[in-house]
Amino acid sequence: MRALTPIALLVCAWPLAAQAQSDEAPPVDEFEDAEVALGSPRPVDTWTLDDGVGADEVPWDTFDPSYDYFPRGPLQVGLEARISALPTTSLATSPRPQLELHGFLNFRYSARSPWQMRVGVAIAWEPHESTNLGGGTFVTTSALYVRLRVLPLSVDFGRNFGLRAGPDVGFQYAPSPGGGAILFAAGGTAQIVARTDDGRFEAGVHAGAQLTGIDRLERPNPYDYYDQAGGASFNVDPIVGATAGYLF
Amino acid sequence: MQRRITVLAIALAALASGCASRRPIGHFGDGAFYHTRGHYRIRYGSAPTRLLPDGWRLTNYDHGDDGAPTAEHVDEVEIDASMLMGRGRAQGIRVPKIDLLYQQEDGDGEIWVRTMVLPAGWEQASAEQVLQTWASSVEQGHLTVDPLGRMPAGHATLTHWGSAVVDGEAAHWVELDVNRGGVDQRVTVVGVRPGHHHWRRGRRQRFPMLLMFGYVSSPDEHEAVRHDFEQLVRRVDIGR
Repeated sequence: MRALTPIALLVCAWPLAAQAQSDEAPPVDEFEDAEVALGSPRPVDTWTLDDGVGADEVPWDTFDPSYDYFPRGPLQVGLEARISALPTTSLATSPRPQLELHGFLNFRYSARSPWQMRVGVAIAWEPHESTNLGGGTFVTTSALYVRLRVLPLSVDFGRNFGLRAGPDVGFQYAPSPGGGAILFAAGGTAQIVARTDDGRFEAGVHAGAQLTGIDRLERPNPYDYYDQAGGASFNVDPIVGATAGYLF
Repeated sequence: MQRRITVLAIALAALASGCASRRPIGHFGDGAFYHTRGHYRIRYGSAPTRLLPDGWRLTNYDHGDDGAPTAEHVDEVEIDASMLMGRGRAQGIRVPKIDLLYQQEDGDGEIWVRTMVLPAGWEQASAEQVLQTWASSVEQGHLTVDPLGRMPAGHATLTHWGSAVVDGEAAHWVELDVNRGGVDQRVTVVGVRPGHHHWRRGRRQRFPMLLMFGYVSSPDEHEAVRHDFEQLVRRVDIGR
């Protein structure tokens, strides 16, 4: 019985309390006048402006970046073919063609930057020339070039044009009668290209220069293969031609 | 010789124009408007390619035949970076006055989105501190509530403010009643400080910033505009 007393009191008192509460005047805000005078009403509840949908539901990376340079992504693998002419004449060389295949990596510094850099390996072939200068002296120009090509000046002009320029360095092979010679190779190249297929295909013209190796074989006695000497010299040959490439 | 110099000058000008292209504010891509600097995006609403329902017109963009926004009109303001940094030589940085500006077709309401670049010393300031300071400046007539500055600062009174949440980030909002030339307007602005984002200039300079979302209307229509405004800001994603 003693235990039921508080419950009974609570049940009986509830309607009375509710009645009393409804009859109460709204609480007086003693600071209201001061706030109005200061022009600084109180803050209200937090305004939630979040639908709870985030990057998980709509991934950030799937959008169409209209202002990005193409091809998209920071790195592409590319392949380029060149057909060129070396138009000048020297004591050991004459005008000749050159074919080149260039595999490269294309690094773009940022999605919205026109600047990029290319690093690759270029393999070139040209018809070599062997010339008998008389007195048992043969000179042979290089036929094969393997060069590391770095194009740090590589920039797009809008979406459809690009300029690439830089040096290359490597080695070249001259198939001289003495068994051939591997020589140092160097050069420089610049190309202006038009780009299409979202920047993947590019074609244009290129110009530059290369050090053409000339292997010299001196064999005073044509019947004595062991009595021979040699050396190498280099000729600076300008190159002009056409180029076409594709970035994968 | 003169011809060579002319050709060289043309080539250099072409190079400069290609490299110095102005950075756009943002673009409308798949599913959202994306700010160019990656600070935020706003996902499209019920319509597949619209941020706001019919009745709102995006005024700082041209529109294609399908109504989709195309070319943008950028109105920039030049800020002295040395003033923002508190040191160094005077260097101007150009900041768009507004990212998005929508106007009501059958009313005087406006909804806008803005990125405000702040002085470097405000790095630790909260959205509340920044927005309250901004509102005080508006009240004192130093600033106008119109980001584009189309109308001079009028008599403004800060009437309400409070805390808010935008994409899970702590935010702040203020409401001001403005009288400009005898016309009463009510302005509500929500500000959020994505502390991990900065407005970068080059590699070395970076400034804190405040993302601002605002809507303006006559006091009578303010509650009606508020619904569309809320729906827009609720779809904001701040870059992580």
